[in-house]
Amino acid sequence: MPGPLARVRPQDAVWVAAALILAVLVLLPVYHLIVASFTTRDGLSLANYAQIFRVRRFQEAMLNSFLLGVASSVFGTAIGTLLAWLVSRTNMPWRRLIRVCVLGCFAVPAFVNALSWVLLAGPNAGSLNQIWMALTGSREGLINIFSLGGLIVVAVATVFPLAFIFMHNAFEAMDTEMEQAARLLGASGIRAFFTIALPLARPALIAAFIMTFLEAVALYGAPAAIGVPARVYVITTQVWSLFEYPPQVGMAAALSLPLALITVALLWVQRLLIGRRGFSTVRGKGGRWLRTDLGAWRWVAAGVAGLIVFVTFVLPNAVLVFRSFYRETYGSFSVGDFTLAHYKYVLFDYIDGLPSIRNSLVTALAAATFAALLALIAAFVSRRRSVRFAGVVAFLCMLPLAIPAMVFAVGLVATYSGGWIVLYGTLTILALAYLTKNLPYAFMSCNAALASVHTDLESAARVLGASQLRALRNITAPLIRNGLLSGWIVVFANSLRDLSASVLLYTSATTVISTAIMDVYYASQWGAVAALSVILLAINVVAIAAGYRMLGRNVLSPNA
Amino acid sequence: MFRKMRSAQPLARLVTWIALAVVALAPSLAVADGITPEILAAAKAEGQVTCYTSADLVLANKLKAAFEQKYGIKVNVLRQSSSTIYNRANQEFDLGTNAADTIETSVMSHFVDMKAKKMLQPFAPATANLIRSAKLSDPEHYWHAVKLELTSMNYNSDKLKGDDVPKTWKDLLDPKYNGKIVQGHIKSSGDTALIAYNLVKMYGWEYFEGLRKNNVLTMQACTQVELVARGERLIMMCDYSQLFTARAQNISVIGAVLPQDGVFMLAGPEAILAKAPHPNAAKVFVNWLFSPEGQTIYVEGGDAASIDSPEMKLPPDFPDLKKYKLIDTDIDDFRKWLPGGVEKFTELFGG
Repeated sequence: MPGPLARVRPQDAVWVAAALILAVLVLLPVYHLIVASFTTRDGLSLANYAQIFRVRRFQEAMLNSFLLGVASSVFGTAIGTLLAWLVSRTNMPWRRLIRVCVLGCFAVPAFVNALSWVLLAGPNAGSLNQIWMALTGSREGLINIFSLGGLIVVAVATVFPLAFIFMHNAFEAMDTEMEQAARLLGASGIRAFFTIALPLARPALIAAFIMTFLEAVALYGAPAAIGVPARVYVITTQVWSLFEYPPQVGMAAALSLPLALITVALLWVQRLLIGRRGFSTVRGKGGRWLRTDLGAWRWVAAGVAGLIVFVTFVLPNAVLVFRSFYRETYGSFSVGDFTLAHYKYVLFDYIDGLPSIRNSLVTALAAATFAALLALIAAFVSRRRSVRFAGVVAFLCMLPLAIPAMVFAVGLVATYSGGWIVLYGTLTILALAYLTKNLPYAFMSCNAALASVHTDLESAARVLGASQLRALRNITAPLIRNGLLSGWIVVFANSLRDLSASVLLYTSATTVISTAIMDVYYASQWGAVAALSVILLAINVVAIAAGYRMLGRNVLSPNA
Repeated sequence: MFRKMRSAQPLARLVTWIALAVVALAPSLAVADGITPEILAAAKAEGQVTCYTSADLVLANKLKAAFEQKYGIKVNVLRQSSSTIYNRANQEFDLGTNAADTIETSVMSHFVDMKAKKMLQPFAPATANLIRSAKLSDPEHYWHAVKLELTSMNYNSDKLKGDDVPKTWKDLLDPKYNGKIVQGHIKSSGDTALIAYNLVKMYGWEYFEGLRKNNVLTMQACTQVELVARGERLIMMCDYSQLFTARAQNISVIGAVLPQDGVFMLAGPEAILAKAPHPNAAKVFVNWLFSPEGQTIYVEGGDAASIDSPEMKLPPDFPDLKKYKLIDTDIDDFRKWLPGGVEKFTELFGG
């Protein structure tokens, strides 16, 4: 683009540099991913794809990923929508508590959830199944976690909070006059919900469907922990197995790309359905705002909502916390078996323990800070259209949404494990993965925040002689502090939770907490699994709670 | 002048003799000398040794504690399944981020491959000549088997009693064990690879097809004491040391059966990595692992010892191995079989 570069102003260098960094961050791995998928020992060919479509295991994996995605999306969105409506639009009791629990789910990595579910719903000895058998006298448990069904249950528990956030924001933004009118004309609360509120929230609903689908097919830890033992494979677990020593990057790339294509297709469908509004929902200021009175049903509603968050949030985490302080001997319960030994072990004896915590913190902090900075500049450029390629910048920021974390990691390995820059085996490659994968969230929150800041203030500064860069630094950035901070926290928490990219990128010198948890899990050390998980949770809870303090309940909303 | 020459002669002769002796003994000095005071001093200066091991964590920690107490050299233990250890060491070697000093897995072929890749350095422990069989060592002393695991069926002794306890591998195909068995994965577990190799030799792949029909659960590692103790599965196909691991954790509900149709001897080699950051401490550690003292700890952990020494004592309830059909594995045949075996096993059990 010679045009903008030809009449370059000093501050333009910053915009151009940011755009270039974005292009390298996002496009380079995608390019290498595509090239790798066509590369074999004998040069460029379709052999990797031919192999993928020949092996039955890979086909099964694709089918299972699809089933997992659809089922998790349908159930996840249904549950998320129900809870969001109850919390935001009704007079159900315990609304605040329910919302905190659902938001709390964002602190918990999906695979940690899956591991607790092994303890809860193992077919023979899971606590829930034991209770079921004791209550009913049945010889068989109720849930077999080691199955596709079990995997779906865990995936639903993992993705429904995402649907909740989309729907919650939509319901809060919508005014209630039409619903009230319908009620006055005799419609039941339920009918008003299905005929008025839900159709009004259609953009959010579609976004929720798509995002939960994407989140579910991108899961790695849960399928690895509970799918693989039951011979249920999905694309991500197969990609991982291709990375076992010696890694077959080309095959992994060929298997990953269909996943990225499905994602792109879905996002395209979404655009067709709801136009250019993307993920933002209608956020009008609202006129009259009345909660639906559920009458006596509100206690039933509270019971159902309470049960859902109890089963998906309270129970799995309680099991973990308990296990992290308990020396299990499988005899009778004894108070004397409470111990700090598991913590002592992971902090002092396990050689990957402390380094993994340090590595996680360093990479997550770096990713969050750089993502917030890049997102701020990118949002500013794309909103204020100060340069011609502003639209491209926004596109680059949102593109990683279309690439599942593990697929992106395959691209990073293909890019940085040979050639000019070798980053494989360093913390940088992990930070790059976290940064890029979560950039869309930081961008969305900066973008939304920027939308609410009128350009008058900037213009005033410009008139008084400040450069655009200075206006951004001194006027705009402080004004959208909340948007920035919310983006920062989302990137930080997501980085800490990540397993699917980390598992391909870590080496023994760059273990992070999530990979360390998988390692001790594979070594069958449940006490260490629990202790490390609780440490991870604690870090995330502190980060999110601090954000909640500063930003209120919109802390994790992509449209904050 | 003459006198002077005479007086110089004995010294010259001595020097010659020493030189000759050094030349003659050099190869054996290099490989069969255990440790010298110099090595020990250097090891203490290094202060620590990092060992990658597939030995059970309880056993690994016992070895760590005993060695640290004796030498004051810190042992960093990384316990993972055999293939994880092997992959990690390879990855570190390729990247040049060598963190480990010693490596031990339950797969002998790993060591043949690592030696070929020049990842190992030769070192012969002082007791190398006591190792039971020539098959258990590399002739050039790049590795030696440090333990012999005994493959076994471990079970939940609270839920399985009397005739319900399986006696042979073949018993596991009985429909009454449907949904009750757990095994490791051939890709990651050395035990499982050896069990699969031998059972396929004895009964053909029909055996594993039968296990699949019986809904065996396939985890990464076969060491699923907790899963069995909890009653999630009742039988695991693993090794005898799991019984002692459970005891060390005060878990009393685990029993172990050495199968009547064959106990496969799983040799677990130990070696020092070529790029060990603490080479002297590594030598002291490996030398000690092969001493009667180190070997006794292995035996107390439920393995058979690799060396034959009267100084070692067996635990009182250690089974009389003469009563069983002990089966050695031919390493070359196993290596040839493994890639196809992995393929077939993965087809049956995924992963």
